[in-house]
Amino acid sequence: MTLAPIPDRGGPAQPLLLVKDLSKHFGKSGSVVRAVDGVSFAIRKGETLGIVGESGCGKSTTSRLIMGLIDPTAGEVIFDGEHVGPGGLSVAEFRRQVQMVFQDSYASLNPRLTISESIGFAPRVHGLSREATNARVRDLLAAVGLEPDQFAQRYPHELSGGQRQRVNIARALALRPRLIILDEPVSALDKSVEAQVLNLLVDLKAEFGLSYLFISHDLNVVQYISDRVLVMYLGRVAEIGPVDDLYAHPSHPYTRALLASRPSMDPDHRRTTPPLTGDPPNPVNVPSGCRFHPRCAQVMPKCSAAEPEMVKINADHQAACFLAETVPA
Amino acid sequence: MSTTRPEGYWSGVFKRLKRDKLTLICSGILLLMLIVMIAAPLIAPHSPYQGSMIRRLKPIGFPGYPLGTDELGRDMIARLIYGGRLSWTLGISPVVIAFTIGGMLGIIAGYAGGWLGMLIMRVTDIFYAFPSVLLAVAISGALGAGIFNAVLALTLVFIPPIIRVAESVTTSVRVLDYVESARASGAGAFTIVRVHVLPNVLGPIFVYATNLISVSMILASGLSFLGLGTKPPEPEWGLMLNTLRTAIYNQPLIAMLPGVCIFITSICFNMVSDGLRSAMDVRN
Ligand SMILES: Nc1ncnc2c1ncn2[C@@H]1O[C@H](COP(=O)(O)OP(=O)(O)O)[C@@H](O)[C@H]1O
Ligand SMILES: [Mg+2]
Repeated sequence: MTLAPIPDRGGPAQPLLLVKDLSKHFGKSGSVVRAVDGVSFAIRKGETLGIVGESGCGKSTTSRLIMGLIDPTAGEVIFDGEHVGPGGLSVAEFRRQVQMVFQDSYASLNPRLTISESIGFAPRVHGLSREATNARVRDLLAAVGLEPDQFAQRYPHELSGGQRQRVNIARALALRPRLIILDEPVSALDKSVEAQVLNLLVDLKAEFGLSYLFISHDLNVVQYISDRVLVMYLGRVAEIGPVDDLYAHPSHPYTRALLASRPSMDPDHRRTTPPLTGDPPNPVNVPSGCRFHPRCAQVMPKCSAAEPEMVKINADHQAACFLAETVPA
Repeated sequence: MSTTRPEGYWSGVFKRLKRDKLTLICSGILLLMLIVMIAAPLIAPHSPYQGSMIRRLKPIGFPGYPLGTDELGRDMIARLIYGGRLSWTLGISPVVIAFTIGGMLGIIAGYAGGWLGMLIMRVTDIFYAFPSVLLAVAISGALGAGIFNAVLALTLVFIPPIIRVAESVTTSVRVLDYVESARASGAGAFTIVRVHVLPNVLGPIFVYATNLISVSMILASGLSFLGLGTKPPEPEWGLMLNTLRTAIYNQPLIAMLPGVCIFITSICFNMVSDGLRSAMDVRN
């Protein structure tokens, strides 16, 4: 048993991960929390897809749904062309190829295990020998920039937040996955440490041929690391597109408001659009029509009546807004 | 660069315990009691059963009987030492058995959740609805007097609270990211419980159980006092308290002695339990 990386099947044009109409409603009838409500997107091979959105919009729920840590209310996940679940790719096989890094670096590590035991846990579960696991743990520690001799036998509480997050990344890499879901991996870190960890992620992606699903509420971080960006609002996709295009020409009023509300260092770029106003979103009480309409600066009568479809702005850029228009190429 | 192996969790716990004077003293007292009880035949100056009508209820300090004699003229020192053996057995064994069974059921209920967890917890709630003293007396009364039945009754009394604690600790650990991440790595439920859940829940459950030892000793003594535990002439602190009741006006100090033993033991177990709890908290 060597636990080699699993080879590509569908070729470069086939999306690595396809999410189709994924929904998760928590709670019983009466007060249903529509945490995720019909989300579809694709992650291409070798890309980083960023997901942004305010806290509570369903980002973490989406990642847990993909990992199969919670059962979806509806929808399906397709990995490299194969349906995940009964009759398709088994959840166990899928989990070898997709791993996850959480926000809280401390809660992500068992306080009773050494760093080496934490990283080696998954390979041992998958049958890798003790010697091979130890060798792999050392390689991984070195790969994430932690001196193996110094860190392998330590306990989580002896490490800094940044070091712990490096350990979590090493642990996610231990099964040689093809996709890593990073749920706010740098949100709890200091700015300087954040930059180091982001750079590490960029390096590892090239070194191990990875794809990332990168979740964050920080637009600058997402802009730095992503190839494409998905903007989420109250459990739905508001806009999705290539990072440069989306940041330069946001088509959804929510994206514009988000971008306008981030602090700008440049006095020439003072906000021209109003920042976000109105009540913060509440997934228990989802507004009719377009869920953003109570807070939208450009709200029209039909916005509360009907839910807008995804409009293709150009080949790669879509937004769910009545005002979004197709730009001729 | 240091390559020394940093301290593990348990060595940290012991280091913190060593600084806690009160816990150390209490552990010392308990250890001393244990040694005395084990070495009872060597230490006790007289037989705990051999009485004499002519030396009944001799006061403390009576020549040859430093702690006096009881209502049948038996040596109090011998009876207290041998009585400790029974009282400790009656007090500790129900907690140990309940810790094993209740801990297991609680961890299963907490980790599995769903209908299985629901079933375990609802049955627990039914037991929980009765006050523990009432439950112990009722079960013991139904089963009849005797050491075995008393242990059985007390075990049944302590299983529900231990299940509750085990379930709630396990539920809080189960949702932590490292358990989620272990699930995401494809490990089975058994492996996750063994590697990730058990080491993090056993400590708190154990601390709670040690806290129950004092309650258990008092309840056990209570059962014996009521005639539901050990039977005369067996020496047992609770039973001694009962039979010495009649001497409360002649020799109040002697009548109190078994109570003092119960009191000191349960206080010490409680202190050790509290000390253990704070020593096991990594934040200290
Ligand atoms: N297990 C759960 N039970 C009930 N509601 C939940 C649960 N998990 C998340 N939610 C709710 O779902 C919504 C989305 O949560 P989450 O996915 O964590 O958002 P985000 O990660 O974007 O901040 C929130 O309103 C949250 O309260
Ligand atoms: Mg989140």
